[in-house]
Amino acid sequence: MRAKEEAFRILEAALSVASSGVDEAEVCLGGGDLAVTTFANNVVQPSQEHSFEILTVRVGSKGRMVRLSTTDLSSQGLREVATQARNRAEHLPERARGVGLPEPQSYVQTDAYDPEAELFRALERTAVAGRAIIAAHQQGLTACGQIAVRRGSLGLDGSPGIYAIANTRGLLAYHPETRVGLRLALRNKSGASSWVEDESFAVSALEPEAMTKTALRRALIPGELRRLEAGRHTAVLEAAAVGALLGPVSLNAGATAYAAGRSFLSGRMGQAITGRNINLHDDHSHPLHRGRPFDFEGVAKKRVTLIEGGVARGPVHSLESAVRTGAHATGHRIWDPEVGETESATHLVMDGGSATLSDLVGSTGRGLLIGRIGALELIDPRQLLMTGTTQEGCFVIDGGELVAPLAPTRFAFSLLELLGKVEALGNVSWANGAVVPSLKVELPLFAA
Amino acid sequence: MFNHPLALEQAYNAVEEAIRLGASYADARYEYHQREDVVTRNGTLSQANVTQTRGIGIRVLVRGAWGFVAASEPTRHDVAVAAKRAVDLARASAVLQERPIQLVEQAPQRALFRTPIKRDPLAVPLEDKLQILLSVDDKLRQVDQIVLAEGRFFAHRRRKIFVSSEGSELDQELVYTGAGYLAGASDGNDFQIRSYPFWTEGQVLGRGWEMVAELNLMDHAERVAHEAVELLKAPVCPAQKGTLILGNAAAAAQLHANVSHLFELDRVLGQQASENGRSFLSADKLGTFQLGSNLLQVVADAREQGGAGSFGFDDEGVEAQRLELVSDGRLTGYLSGRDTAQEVGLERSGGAFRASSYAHVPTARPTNLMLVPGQSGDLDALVADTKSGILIDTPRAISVDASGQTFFAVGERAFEIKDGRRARLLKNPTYHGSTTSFWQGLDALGGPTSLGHFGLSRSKKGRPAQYVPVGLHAVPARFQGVAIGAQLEPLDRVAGATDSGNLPTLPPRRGSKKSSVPKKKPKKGARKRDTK
Repeated sequence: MRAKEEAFRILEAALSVASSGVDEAEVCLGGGDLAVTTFANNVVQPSQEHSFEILTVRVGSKGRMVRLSTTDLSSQGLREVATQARNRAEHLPERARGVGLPEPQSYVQTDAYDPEAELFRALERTAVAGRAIIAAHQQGLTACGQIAVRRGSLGLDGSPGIYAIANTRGLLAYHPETRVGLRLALRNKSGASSWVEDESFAVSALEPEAMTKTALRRALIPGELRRLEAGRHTAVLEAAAVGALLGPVSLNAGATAYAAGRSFLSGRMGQAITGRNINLHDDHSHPLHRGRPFDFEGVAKKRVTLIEGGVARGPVHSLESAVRTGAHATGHRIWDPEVGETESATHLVMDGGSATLSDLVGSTGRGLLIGRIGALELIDPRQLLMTGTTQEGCFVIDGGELVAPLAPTRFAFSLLELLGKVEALGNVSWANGAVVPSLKVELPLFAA
Repeated sequence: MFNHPLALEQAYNAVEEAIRLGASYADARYEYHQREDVVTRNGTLSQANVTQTRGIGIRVLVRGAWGFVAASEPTRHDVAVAAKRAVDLARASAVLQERPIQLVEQAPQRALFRTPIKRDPLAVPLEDKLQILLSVDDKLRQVDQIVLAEGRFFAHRRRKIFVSSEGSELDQELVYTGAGYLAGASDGNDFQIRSYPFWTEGQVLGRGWEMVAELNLMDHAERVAHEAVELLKAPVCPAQKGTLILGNAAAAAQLHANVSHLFELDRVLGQQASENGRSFLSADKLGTFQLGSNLLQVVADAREQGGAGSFGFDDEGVEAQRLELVSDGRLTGYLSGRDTAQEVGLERSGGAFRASSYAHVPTARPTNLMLVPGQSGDLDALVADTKSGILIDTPRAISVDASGQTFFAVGERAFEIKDGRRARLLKNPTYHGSTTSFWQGLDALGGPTSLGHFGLSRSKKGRPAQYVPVGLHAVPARFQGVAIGAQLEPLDRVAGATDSGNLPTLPPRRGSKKSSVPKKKPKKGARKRDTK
C-alpha cells in the first residue's frame, strides 16, 4: 500500500492519461501487503507473504462506462489500459448508459492504521503460532489456526479492494488500513474442540496469550462429546456465530436485490420482520469497524438503519440505484467477482445489551453454547432461510456451566424467525466482518 | 502484454537466488492473467471489466519447511528480495517443523501446453458479447412476472512459466470461457429462479468463444423465463424419505460440493484444518473404504480436452494425470501433490496441486471430475423405471460440513414421479443426509449418451481464498432412501433421517420428556464465572 502522497501522485498521473478522449474518468488503487502464517497438526503449514497492487481505470464515453484493471503501474501500462478502456466504452450500445461519476464528497474519516503492523513479520507470527502449538502439545491437544497481517485493502477473500480513488469531477479520497487477526482451534482426541478468533486494526488490541488460555480452558472441558437430538434448543450464540449468520444479510440489504424482490426487505418496508429487541445498521464509522469511508466509486458512506425495533428499514444504495429510484446514495457500491457491481451493507452493526457472555451462559439452565458455524448457504433470500453446521467451540450448558463438548450439528432456519425469538443480547464485539452481540435464542437444529 | 524472455529470466533468477541462500528446493511461477467479466442485469450493463495481473510466486524448502512469497510486476531487485523473504519465512517455520517435509521424485519436465481453442474469447468485441446478453435479457423480461434477468460472460487466459531447481521449465497457456443467465420471477410473495445452462453461476469450460455459440443461449430464454414463473404457483416439495433422481447438472453439483474435496490429500492429512478444510477420509482408508454402492465410479482426469480443470502440468510441474478416485464404490485414489504423496507413501504425485494465481500456494484441487456413466439409458429412462420418487434436475445450493460427512442440498425445481412419469412440478426441493449413506443408496446411473459436461470457474478453498476452475461430468443418477423436503422441518419429523451414532445425545427443549444430561444445581457464583 502506498503512502497518501505517492498514491495521489499515481492517481493524478493515471487520471491525466485516462481522461484523454473521454467524457469522464475514474482511477483507483487497491491491494496491499498480506502476510499469513497458518498452522495445523501442531506444525506450521506453508507460510506466505504477498504484495499486490492494482490500478483500476473506469472511463465514460457518452454515459457508457467500462472498467479495466492492471498491476502494471508504469506509464506505458497506464497508456495501454486507458486506450483499451476508451475503445471498449466507445463501442458500447446506447442502452449501456450509466449514471455518471460522483461529485467530490465529505467523508466521516476513521483511523484504522497501525504502523506496528508492519513489524509483525514472520518471526513474530511464528512465535505466536509456536506458543499456541506448545501449549496444545503439552495438554495432548492438536492446534490449528492462522495469524494474518494485512496492510491496505487486500482481502482474505481474494478481493483487492480499493484504498485510494480520484475522478475527473475532482473527487479524491484515501484510506490507509491495517488488520491483524488470529484464529485458533484446539482439538482433543475425541474430536471435541474449542475456537477463538479476534481481529483488529491495531496489533496491541490482539491478545494471543489470553486467547490461547481461553481456547485451552474450553478444549479441556472433560465431558463426553455429545450429539444433539433434533428440535429447538436454548442456545447462546457467540459473536462469531452471529457474525457468520449475518453474512448473507449484506448483499440482500442492497437496493438492487430489494427492487428485484429477492431481499428480506422487499415488500416489507415499515413492517415488523424480527423481534422488537433487534436493531441492525450499517455503520463504517463504528469504533470496532473503522471501515473505509467511501465505496467503490468514492461515494461517502452513510449510516443506514436496516432494522429498527424489529421493523424493516433501508435498503443501502449506490449512486446508480439512488439515481434510478430517486433515493439518496449511501455509499454502498461494491464490486465482487461473483455478483458483479451492486450494493452491499459491508459494515453491519447489531445493537447489543449489557450482558457479558458469562452472564448469558450463567443464566442458562440447560442449553448450548455455539461458537463457530460454517458451510452456510442461503436457501431463500426473502426469508433469509439458510442452512449450515455448527463447528468448533460448541458446548452443552448445564446449570450455567459448560459441561461437555458438542459434535457438529446441522441447522436450517430463517434468520428472521430466529431474530424474532431473541431472549437476551450480550455486549458487542467484532466478528466475521460484523459488530454483533452474543445472543440467547431458541435455536432450531437438525441432528448431526 | 506477456514478455516471455523476461518472465523466464525472472523465474530462473528467483530459483537461483533461493538456492544460493540455502534452499534445498525452489520453484517459481511467473504468471500473466487476463480476465474479462461482463454482467447484464434487467436491460442494463452491470459490469464490463477487464483485469490484467502479472507477478511471480516463489516457493522454497529450507530445513524441511516451506516458505512462499509473491510479488506483482516484479523488477529484478524485487525478485531477489522476494526470494530472500521466502527463504527467511521457511527458516522461521522450520523452528516448529516436527518432521522435515520431503517430496516424491519428479523427473524434470521441459514442455509447452496450450488450451486448444478455435476463437480467443478475449479478442471477441465487447459489443458482440453484449448483443447476446442483452437480447437474452429482453427475451426473459418479456414474460410477465419476471423481475430479474441476469446474464454473464466470463473469459480468462492464464499464461504461466514454471521453473524449478530440479530442472523443470514449463510454459502453459490455459484459457477458460463461460456464459449463462438466470431469470427471477416474483408474485410479490415468493421469488423463484431458473437458470441456463448449468446453475446460477453459468457454464465454464476450457474452450474458446466457440463454446458460447454452441450453448444457443437465446433458444432457451423464453422457456427458462416461463419455468421460473410456473414455479411461483407450484406446491412446495413435500417431506418424505424415498427415491431421488438427480439430473446430470444436479448430479454434477453434488459430485463437486459433496465428494470432490474429500479426496484432497492435504485435507485428508489435516493440513487445511484451520480453514474448514478437513475430510472424514483418512490415508489408511485407501483401497478399503466403501464410499458408495458398487455402481459408483469417480475419475479425475486433468488431461481431457475442453474441461475447466484441464492443464498440461500442475503448479508443482507434475504432468496432468487421470486418477481413479472411486472404483466399484471403494476409495481408490487421492488428489495429491509432491509432499502429501510422500507423506502417505505414494510413489508419485497425482499432479493435482493447483493455485489461483502466482500469488497463491498450490494445494490439492479437483481437476475434471467424472461420475462415470452406467447403463440405465437417459434421464427419461431412469424416470420410467421409477414407480415413485422425486426428480431434481437443476442445482441451486449445497452446504457440506467441514469434514464432508453430511450435506444439505437445494434444487431450483423438482418433479414428482408417479408410476414412471413426471407428475407435479414442485418448488423449493431439498434433500440431505450423510455422504456415505447417500452414495451407498445409488442404484442406477444414466448411460454414456446422458453424460453432461459442466464446469465451475470458482471452486473455492482456503484462506486467503483460492478459486480454481473445475470440470464436472455427470450422468443422471438415482438414489434410494433419501431424506427429501424437510426444508424447515427438524429431522426428527422425517422418518429414519437421524443418525446419532454411539454418542450420548441431548434432547431438544420441547417434545422430549427425558434428558440425557444429568441435572445439576447451578453452582454459587456461576453467573460471574468468565466463560470467555
